Amino acid sequence: MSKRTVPESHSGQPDPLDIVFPGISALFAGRLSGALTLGSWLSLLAVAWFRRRRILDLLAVSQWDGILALLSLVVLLAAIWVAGNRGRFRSTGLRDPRVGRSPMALAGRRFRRHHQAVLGLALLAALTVVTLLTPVLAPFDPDTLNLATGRLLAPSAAHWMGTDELGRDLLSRVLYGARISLTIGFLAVLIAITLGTAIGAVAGYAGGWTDTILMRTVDLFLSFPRIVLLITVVAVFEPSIALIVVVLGLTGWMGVSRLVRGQVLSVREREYVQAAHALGYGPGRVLRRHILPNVLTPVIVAATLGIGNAILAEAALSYLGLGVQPPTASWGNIIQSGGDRIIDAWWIATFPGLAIVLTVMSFNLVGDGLRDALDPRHVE
Amino acid sequence: MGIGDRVVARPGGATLIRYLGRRALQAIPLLIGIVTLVFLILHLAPGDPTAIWFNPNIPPEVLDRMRANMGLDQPLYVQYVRWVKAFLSGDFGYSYTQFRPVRDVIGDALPNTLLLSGTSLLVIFGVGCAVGSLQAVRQYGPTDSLLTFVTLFLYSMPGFWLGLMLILAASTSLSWLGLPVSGMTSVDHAMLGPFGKVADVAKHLVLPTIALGLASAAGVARYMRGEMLEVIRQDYIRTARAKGLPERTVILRHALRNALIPVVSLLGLYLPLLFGGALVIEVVFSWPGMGRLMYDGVLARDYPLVMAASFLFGVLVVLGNLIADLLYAFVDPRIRYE
Amino acid sequence: MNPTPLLEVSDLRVGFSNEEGEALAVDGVSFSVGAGETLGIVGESGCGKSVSALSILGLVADPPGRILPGSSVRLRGEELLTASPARLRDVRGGEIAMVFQEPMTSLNPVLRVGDQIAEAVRRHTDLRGDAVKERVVSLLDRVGIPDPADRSRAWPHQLSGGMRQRAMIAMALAGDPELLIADEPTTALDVTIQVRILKLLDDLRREREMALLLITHDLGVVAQVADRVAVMYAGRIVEEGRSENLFARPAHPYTAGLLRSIPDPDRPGERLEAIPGSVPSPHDWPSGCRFHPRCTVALDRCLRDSPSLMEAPATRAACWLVEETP
Repeated sequence: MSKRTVPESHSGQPDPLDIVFPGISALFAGRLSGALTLGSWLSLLAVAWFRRRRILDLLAVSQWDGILALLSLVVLLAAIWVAGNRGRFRSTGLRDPRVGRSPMALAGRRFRRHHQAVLGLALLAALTVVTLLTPVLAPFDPDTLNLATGRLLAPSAAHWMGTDELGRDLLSRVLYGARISLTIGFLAVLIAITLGTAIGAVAGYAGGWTDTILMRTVDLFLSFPRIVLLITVVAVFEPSIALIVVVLGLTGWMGVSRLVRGQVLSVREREYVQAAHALGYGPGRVLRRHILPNVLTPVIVAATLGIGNAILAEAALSYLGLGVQPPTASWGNIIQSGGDRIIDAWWIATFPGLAIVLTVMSFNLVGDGLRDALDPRHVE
Repeated sequence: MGIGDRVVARPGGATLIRYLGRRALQAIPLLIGIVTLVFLILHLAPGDPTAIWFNPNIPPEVLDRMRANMGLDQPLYVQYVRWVKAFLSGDFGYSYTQFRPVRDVIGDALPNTLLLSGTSLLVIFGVGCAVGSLQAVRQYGPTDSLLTFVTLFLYSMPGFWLGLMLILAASTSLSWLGLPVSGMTSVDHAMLGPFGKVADVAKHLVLPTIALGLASAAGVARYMRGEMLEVIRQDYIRTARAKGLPERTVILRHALRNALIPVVSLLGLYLPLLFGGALVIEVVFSWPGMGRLMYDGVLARDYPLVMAASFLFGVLVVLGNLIADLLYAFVDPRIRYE
Repeated sequence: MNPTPLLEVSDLRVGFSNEEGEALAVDGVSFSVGAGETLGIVGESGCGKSVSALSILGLVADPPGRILPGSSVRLRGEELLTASPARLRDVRGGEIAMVFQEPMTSLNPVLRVGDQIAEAVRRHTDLRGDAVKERVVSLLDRVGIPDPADRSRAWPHQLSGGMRQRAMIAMALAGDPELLIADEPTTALDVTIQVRILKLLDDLRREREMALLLITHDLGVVAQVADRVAVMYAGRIVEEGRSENLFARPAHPYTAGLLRSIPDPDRPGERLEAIPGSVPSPHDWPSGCRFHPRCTVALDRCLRDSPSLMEAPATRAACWLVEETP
């Protein structure tokens, strides 16, 4: 079995086939990720074929669904690509010879790392597929009320997760809530890493007063608990999904900016950057082509973990009633209505919470797995 | 000091004072920045600023007085300066909903928040460090694997949900424990003796503290495990063993003390999470703290209260960081004696 | 030969595991140290000398290291490899003490120097309270640290490299050991300090009738201090003997090569002779005599058969040439 995960041409560029079908080369390497890749592609294609009409309808129905579908696809593809191209992300750090390497410890560590990351990836892939196919999978419409006979029914064969105080099927609401929470989390992190990367790169590259001012701003934002800022802003403006996304993004960039700044500082002094300078490249070009690619990998880790945190923050906000407003289902606001009647109807608060835990857990697993893959020196 | 010139160090425990002084000095512009941010948020709201302050429950003359006090008719920079001066001197205006100075309202609630947060902090770092160290010492064993899963699970959990689950358990299957699920005191609190009062508050503290602390404790445990593993590989651990010291001493006295240093720096990072979490937990458990106060204020549109609470949360984080810096210097002699 | 040597290591084999499997870092090493004598073990990095030293006190990290059965380490006849953990802890710092290479990382940065030495004193003597403090100060004084009372309250980062190494030595002496193992004690120090530390070790040895096992890659160090020398290469001892004999008439080509590569102050400007090739890693050890790929006088036999130590004119060497030459 080949030890390389990505077939490379002599110039070190990835196989063009990989760009088109991410991870396909992993398949030829006979790895688990290859099996995952093939499985995912085949299932996607199968579902797409059998539900082709429904899917076309979905994409046309509303902006939200379209965006979400696209985002889910991106996540899935990214996950497969990363899994297939693990080898590329390895830095060339020196191995610490004292790190435990007996056969058993080695196998234990490898198994665990691999095991954890694959589990996380599998969960994430499942999640993505579920959100993509929610309209197809949900047994009921999430907004249909049933005040007469259906209120507060315990979990049963008809309603797997029971019903809420207005007779709506909880499972369907949880599924649709997934779309909302994931979309918000994803978009918020997108904003956060864009902002964070830009600020961190400028601070690291420019140095001097710019650096100081920017970093003090980071300190300032870090002095507020995220929830406090969220609540304060929502108190002054009216809550809406767009607002939530923007504020989550504006409160989540600080860690990334520090990361990026650190990377830029360390890379800035390296020879190939100085060479680029000597050739007369402007700072913009140097940043883009030489520094940022190196910075990319820890940012990906931070982004993955950041999505989990964003989901938790949005859930808290919605629980407080200041986030996504009913009747739109969000895990947080379902838990809110569940909290009021926790003793009589425990299912309403419990299931969305479990959904949150599973989701955040999978993001954490993937993030940790990525971090392990990127830094072989990281003590497990 | 007595350390002669052949020693590498620069003389002075004065370095410690300088270090802390520098950090304290850096805190001041930070505090001003916090006030500014709060001010900006308020005034970035669309529409006429006075319209925001409109609350049908307030009699017009009080409103006019507040307008004059706040100087809302003045240009923005004048307002800003007044605002900064007011906040930094502890004058937060009048609460709309409680008709008392905000300072008094918050003054009643703040100690409760500190009580909850402080206790949780102990749990977070106490439990977290213990679990993390245990995992490191039993690396790859069944204990380690189980705890890894458990910490991951807890770490991914929303605190308010854990709180609700605890309330559920405490009210049903675990009701025999007799743990109260809301408030800080029982109805008959005033009639209890001094010990009774303390015990009463302590009982009420149990569930909120667990809800607030457990997720973060899991995070600390994960971090601590990594640090301990790193420390155990160091040369000075080998030296300690070469001296014939029992393994327990090696781990507790030599390894743990070194592993705690980076964990203390973690403390500063956890503070915002701690206070933010406290806010939500206070709402879940109806704990009479500053967080719940702020939340009620938001719902009732009591802006002076909200702004003041916002500011104070920021101040708490900054102060907490200073204390963390002090602790860090205390724990790492290399900082103390530059 | 000493009637019962203080320390006797026989057929020591230590394996290390990594992704490629387990390889022997130490492959059948035997040596002995008599009471009060200095044995120097010399070799390039990667030859297994440090691992051999660590094995004596059972300080090899397991995993990834493993002392294979068949090995023996006897302290005055008592087998240490099978000793109970309690007994081993008594020996560590008690009868046998060890000093390591990197004094900066070998001292705990968050404990005061004096406290770390006091730990050893309390562990291996019956002293308590103020008597411990006095002992610490006197130890620091004996190893040549000025202002010992003040310095005992210092933190490791406040001392210079030489001072730290002296403190380590003081710590090792706390239990009044009969054998002091020094693993590259001077490698991390300035040359001028090296000489002084070596002299200190030698003086201490004489004064306390202590044996000294000195591990180093530096022949110069060995020449100054050692009574007997063992040369290691690729996990085995290739030559051993009294140091003056070994330096005068080395029998093994490797020893000879090492000696030739030392610059001779009497002949400045002369080209240094390096031994061609590089040290193999434990996973790639050559067959037969492990030195044969780099040996300028290798025979056919050297590729197939692995020589054991044989009597040579002045020393004992593991080389077929010794047998071949009359």
